[in-house]
Amino acid sequence: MTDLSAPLSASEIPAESPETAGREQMARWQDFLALMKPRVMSLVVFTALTGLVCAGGKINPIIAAVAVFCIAVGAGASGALNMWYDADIDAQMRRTRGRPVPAGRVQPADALTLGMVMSLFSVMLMGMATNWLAAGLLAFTILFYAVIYTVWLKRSTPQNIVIGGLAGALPPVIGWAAVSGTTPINAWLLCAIIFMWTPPHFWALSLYTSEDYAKAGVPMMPVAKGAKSTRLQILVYSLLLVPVCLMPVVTGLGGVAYLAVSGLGGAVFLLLAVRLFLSRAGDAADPRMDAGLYDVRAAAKDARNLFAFSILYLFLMFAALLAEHMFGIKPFAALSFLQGFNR
Amino acid sequence: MTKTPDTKPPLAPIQPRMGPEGTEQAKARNMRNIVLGLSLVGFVILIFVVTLVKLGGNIANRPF
Repeated sequence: MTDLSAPLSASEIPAESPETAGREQMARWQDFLALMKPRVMSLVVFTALTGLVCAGGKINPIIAAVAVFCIAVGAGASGALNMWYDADIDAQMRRTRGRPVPAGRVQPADALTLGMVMSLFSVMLMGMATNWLAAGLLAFTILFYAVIYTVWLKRSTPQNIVIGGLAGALPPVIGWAAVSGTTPINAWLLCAIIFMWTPPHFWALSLYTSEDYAKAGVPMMPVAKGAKSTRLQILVYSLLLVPVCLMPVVTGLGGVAYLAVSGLGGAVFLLLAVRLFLSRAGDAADPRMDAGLYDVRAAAKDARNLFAFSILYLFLMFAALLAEHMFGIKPFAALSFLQGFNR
Repeated sequence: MTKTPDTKPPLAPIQPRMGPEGTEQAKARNMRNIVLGLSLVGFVILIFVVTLVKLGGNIANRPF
């Protein structure tokens, strides 16, 4: 449930105009929806659904849908709590100053109430509908994102999104637990893939939006350690990510389609990471250029490419797993002797 | 006898209760209330359906 810094959505575009400046605006229901970060929610739903399907157990389809719904609502609750607490720094950043709380459309107390109510609702319903292991993991994820990441890590360490990335990595484990009541190695492998994917994905983006974070005093890696160090760390995490992505083939979770996607995609990912490492992406921008937030400067093109491909890579891997398990494609036969990690 | 003058002030022209801005705010509030109401109804239906699914056929087999 990490804030993976998706580009501006229509609801996040600053709404302030000479006519509306200085007066409180009336909250529309869409503003409350925007508090739940619907696009982050969609990623969470997709990965949770993959975990749920890969678990392979028997579950009533209605209960499965309710479990995914609870995870989505839990993710939305985390987003609302995040926007409530971060309103001060959101107001200083171009990317986020149009959000409902800093723009004055939603009162902070309303955002807090929405987050708290939805957290309780999602956890209780998850426990009632599936099992309390899944509910406990969901509660931990919300707490981790809202308290550990938002309140503590985000403002205090450049490792914020590395550790905080755990919150975004847990939904497939919750989905798995909702079906089977257990969290075997394969479930944690899905978690590990997202966990290792988050730093290169996020830092690639922050290489060309670091000015925004610097202005708000958020110690993102390019702000705290510089662009060169960030590019090196992106490369290191990418080198670690690709073997982790291939692990499901070894454990029998992924089949031939998954092997093709993770292998070929991993090669492209590494190539883009090397190109980014060799580039000057994120180095001091030419002050004569008044580029927009998401306008790509020449040197930042490599960062943009890795950022864009990282989204595609994660999506394709999880889509391959989802397809293989939904349509019953058998795991990679050559490594079948290593299977048995689903228990 | 002179008739006492009517001391009632003349009626002020009827003003619309809300201007264009007020109408917009009222519309936003109404929509919020409708969405909140539908969410609550949805919540009740969801709990009802989950209860039915969890009980399954057991309700027919309960001991009397």
